[in-house]
Amino acid sequence: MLRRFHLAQMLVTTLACLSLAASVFAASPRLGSITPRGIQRGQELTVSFNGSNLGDAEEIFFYEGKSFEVTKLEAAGNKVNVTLKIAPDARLGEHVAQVRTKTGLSDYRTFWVENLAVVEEKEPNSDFAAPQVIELDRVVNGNVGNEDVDYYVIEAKKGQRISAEVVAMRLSTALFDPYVAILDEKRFELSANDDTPLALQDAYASIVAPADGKYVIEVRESAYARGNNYRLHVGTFPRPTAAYPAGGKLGEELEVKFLGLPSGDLKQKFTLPAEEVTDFGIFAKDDGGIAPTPNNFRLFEHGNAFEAEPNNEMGAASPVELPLAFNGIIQEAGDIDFFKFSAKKGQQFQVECYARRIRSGLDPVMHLYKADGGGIASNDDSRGPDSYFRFNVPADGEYIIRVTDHLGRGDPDLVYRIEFQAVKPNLSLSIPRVERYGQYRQQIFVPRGGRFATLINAGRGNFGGELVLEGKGLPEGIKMICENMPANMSSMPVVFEAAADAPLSGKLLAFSARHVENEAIRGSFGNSADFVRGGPGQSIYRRKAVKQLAVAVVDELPFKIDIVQPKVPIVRNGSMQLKIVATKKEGWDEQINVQLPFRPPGLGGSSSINIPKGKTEALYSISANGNAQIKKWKIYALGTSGGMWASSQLANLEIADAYVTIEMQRPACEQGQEAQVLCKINQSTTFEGEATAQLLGIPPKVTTTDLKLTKDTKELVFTLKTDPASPVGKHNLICRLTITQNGEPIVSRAGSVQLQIDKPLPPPPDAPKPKPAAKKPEVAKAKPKAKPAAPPKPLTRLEKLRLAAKKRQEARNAANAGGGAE
Amino acid sequence: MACKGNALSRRNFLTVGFAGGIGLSLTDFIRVKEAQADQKYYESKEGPAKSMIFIYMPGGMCHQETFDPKPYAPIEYRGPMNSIQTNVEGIRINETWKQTATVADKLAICRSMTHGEAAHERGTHNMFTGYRPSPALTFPSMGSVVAHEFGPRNNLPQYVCVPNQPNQFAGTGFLSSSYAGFSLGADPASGNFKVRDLNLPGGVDEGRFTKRRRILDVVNDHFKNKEKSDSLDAVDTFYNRAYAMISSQKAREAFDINKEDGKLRDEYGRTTAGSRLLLCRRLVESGVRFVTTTYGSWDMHSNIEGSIKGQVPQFDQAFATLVRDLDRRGLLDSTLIAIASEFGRTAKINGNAGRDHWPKVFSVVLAGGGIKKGIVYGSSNSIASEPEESPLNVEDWATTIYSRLGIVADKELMAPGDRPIEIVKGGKIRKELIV
Repeated sequence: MLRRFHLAQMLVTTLACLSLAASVFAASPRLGSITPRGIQRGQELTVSFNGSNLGDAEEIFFYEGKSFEVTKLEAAGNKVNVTLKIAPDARLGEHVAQVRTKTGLSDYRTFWVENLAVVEEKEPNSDFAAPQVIELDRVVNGNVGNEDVDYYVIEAKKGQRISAEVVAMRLSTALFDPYVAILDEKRFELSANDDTPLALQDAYASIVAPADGKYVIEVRESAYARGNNYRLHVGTFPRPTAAYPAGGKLGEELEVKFLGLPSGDLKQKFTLPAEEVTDFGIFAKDDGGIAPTPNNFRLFEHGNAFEAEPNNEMGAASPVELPLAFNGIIQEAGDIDFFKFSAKKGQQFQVECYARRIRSGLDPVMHLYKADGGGIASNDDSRGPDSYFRFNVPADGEYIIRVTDHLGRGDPDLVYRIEFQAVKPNLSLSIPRVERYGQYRQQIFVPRGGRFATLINAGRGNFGGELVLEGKGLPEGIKMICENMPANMSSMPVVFEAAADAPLSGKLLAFSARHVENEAIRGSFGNSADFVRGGPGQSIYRRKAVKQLAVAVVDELPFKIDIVQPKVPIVRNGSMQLKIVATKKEGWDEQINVQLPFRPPGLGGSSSINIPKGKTEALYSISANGNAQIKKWKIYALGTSGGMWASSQLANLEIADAYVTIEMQRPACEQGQEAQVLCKINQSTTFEGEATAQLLGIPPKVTTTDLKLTKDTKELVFTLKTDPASPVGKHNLICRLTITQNGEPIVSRAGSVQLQIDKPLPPPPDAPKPKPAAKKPEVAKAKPKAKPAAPPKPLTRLEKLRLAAKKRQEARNAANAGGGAE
Repeated sequence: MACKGNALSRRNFLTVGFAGGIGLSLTDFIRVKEAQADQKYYESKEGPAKSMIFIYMPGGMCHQETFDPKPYAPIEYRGPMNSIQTNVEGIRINETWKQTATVADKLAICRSMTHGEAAHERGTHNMFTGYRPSPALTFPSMGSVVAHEFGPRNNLPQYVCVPNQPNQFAGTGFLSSSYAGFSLGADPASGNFKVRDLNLPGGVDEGRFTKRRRILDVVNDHFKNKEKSDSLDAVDTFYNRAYAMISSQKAREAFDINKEDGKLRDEYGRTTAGSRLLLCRRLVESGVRFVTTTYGSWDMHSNIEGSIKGQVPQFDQAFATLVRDLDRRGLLDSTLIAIASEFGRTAKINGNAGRDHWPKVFSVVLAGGGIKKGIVYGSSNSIASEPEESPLNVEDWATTIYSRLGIVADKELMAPGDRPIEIVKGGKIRKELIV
């Protein structure tokens, strides 16, 4: 049961996304829900797709398209009504769909395919004495209001199985934690349930009728709070809690035993798919019907080995062989399962224990030993409650693996399986989220005659190296433009261009990438959307993962944007004004917001800029830090206006090392004096013509002039003129260097230094005033005499301090000498 | 078996004559006396600032887009906004503070405020009390300390919150609740603004009110004889002050901004900021010693440019007018104004075009009452991420403010458990800030 405060914090992603969508993205279609939430297979019915900006809908993408046929599509405003023919053999359970409109692609949302006929809930049904009468083998489309309890009554014969399963949280509509119970006429609970490992927050109950008579099914929110829409499956179908084994070899036929049925275990044969299927599950079926939701089932490249009780001690470990998956059940409290197997030196495995991930109630703890003694590895919760470790076989020999429940519990349906998976490279692609919980812009919608672009992220596991995006099977007229993804990057820009005459169409495709040299290393796009979240801390209660990318050609946009290709590099510690140009169609003049989604490492810039109404260009300020990665990069700008998105071309941006750095020596002076900044020029890249060095950050009442330098300049001196009112203190100065190349500026912060302005020192208190004054001119005279001998080289701070100290000493000596003479 | 001794032990038996009556044993009595003897005590005498207006910006006001712009920093640090020159050569502030720029010669901008608390409530605690939050003790806010140290003037409460006590840390802490701020209970910006409970209820005239009060006194006296508790005393003090205030026409009028000239109201702006700051001025002018007010919402994690452009202009107008208005009335030198927030914001603009929490360096502004004019105190580094010169810590910030009000912050107040606690522990007065 969820605690109350979770419900109080109830936040439904759907609604949050939609309200945002409605306010900000006027032309981007958004899908909030598909209603009704469940549809019966083999039927033809009308289904509504609700959201915003769906008025120009053209097509529905079904992620398992072969089971659904759209016979009619009517779109208006924020709704699409679709007449749908569902194949009689459509897979039961959760399905995914999204809408393609003329102008975009919506989010994807889920709906459920059911086996039984639907009846609607009829209030009032909140009194146990006056329940709603329904027949067996029906799905009730119901709703739980605040403190609402719904009662349904069915008739059953003695020995008949009665199962009731509520799909509520799994509808991914709202944070609704349901409770279900089967009661007899005297109101005794025969079976009651709130949460289960299999259905998570949802619930199911199943009994064998002890006598002919009426049985009441109760549905409510687990804490009597406000619920939401639910689908209650009531019938004689089997509702097993677990399947054993819970996995099998791809493409093979095997027999599975369904556990946890009130009518006793059920054996059933299955032929497994030959290829990986996302979220694969198997449905228990017998004369009473078919389970409305599946039991999760692992598809593996190897077959199964089984425990043989008793195997509670190391000495009695069940002998098994790799690479088979080891299957077992922690049957009773304190049960420990040992397996013994042999492995060869050098073999590497990822040892995965699947229990909670296949919705078993077990919280496994897994230990690995050498058969002749000595532990190797152990783990409890590396995979959520499940266990995992990596096993590098140290020597040929026999090994023992031990599995038990973390709390020492046991139950006949605490099924688990251990897979020794080969350590092999894996690669996954994704599009980063732009909304925290939504799917906005995680689709590719390319305007006719225009461009769209996105970042593609790659997750590499157990390998490194450069990647090639394949872009196979794109809709007609779409071209993908990108470079290879360098080995040190996990994100890259990809631009899609559509021909002006590309047909308005789209599809779901397996968008893949591979290693540049080793074609066997490959992976494809996947996305996971968050649907229901709540407390504590915005926990995600329902999400749905898909493996296909939606791509479409959409209507031409009234604007295009381009980056004016810079002819100079941006240098480290430098900045650049990147010119973005918009081409607006005649009659259309709106503001376009432009962003630079891809920033190479070390490149910063404005978050976004605007090309205002009446203008067709704007400057985008970017800057490179001192460690920016030196390389010729590809970047793109993404422009948006009124929910329409257009990308620029993939432009070149070179990040280069600074051409010139300047070492500046600290200047200091007293108010009213002049200070000189001696600059040593270090040139690493030669440049043509004259560059300008400018001091920035000069305090008030201090002046200086800009200086010029050429490739041959070795030293520069800035003269800072202060005045008696110049502010005393330390002032940070920056030297900005502007080099012109190919007619464009290369701007950098070539150096920085601190200027110190002091108050003039008061005259020494004990020095006799007239004498040093009389002597000073002599010292002053002495200096010009010395100077002509050497070239007029500016003195460093240290040299000046030494000179000043020397002068003071001389003055003091002279004064003392004078005093002595008197 | 160990002897448990007599419940009335010899030591506890030695109770002191009068103290015994209120349940103090001799040991307790001596402990209290010792604590009092050790307590550092300084008489508070009005300082150059006779009153203070404390303007708090809740949420963490960015320093870059207010008083510490970095026009030469790279764009991702500089942010999307520009800076303007103020009327003090060399001092630049953010472009939206146009009117404040014209009174910069009367302000002391501190750009090196620093502490280590990046959570809103902890940073707020620092700035209101001068202490880091402690699980052992709740500290009094500056307003309550002022109320504790000085008595009321002109029948007005010493400490007023406009419109309400802004957060839990602006309260009395371990001091008696009689030093709590008087909350208006309504926003002066609203058209039908009326201070809660300040006027006699409809149909009750002065005579009837006095009669009612006398009846209440009889009941209260009865309770006072029966019970002894701080909260009763506090309520009593509170009521007495409230009676004084309600029965004084002048005191009541301090809260009535409708008495202000329409032109001046326009100058402040008939906005939230304008009304609040105008009321603050009326209150200090009438005799309130410490007014706390708040403005805006500064937790700008996203779109900082839009947020700044949206909420600064009305505050800028009101604040600049407040400084000018006080100056024109000759009250600026006796009124200390402060703008503060719990922390500043990160040097680098984040992915949502905003800035996140950053307590390491931020800006506060002081003006008036005994504070130097037209200066910038301290500085942050080139990207405004760390203090560079004269870091101003929380203790020194509070101590300097207290010094202007005539309170020696080293003075100890008695906290529960007979613990003498300094008003501010270990703070120094920043001489460079004060006149």
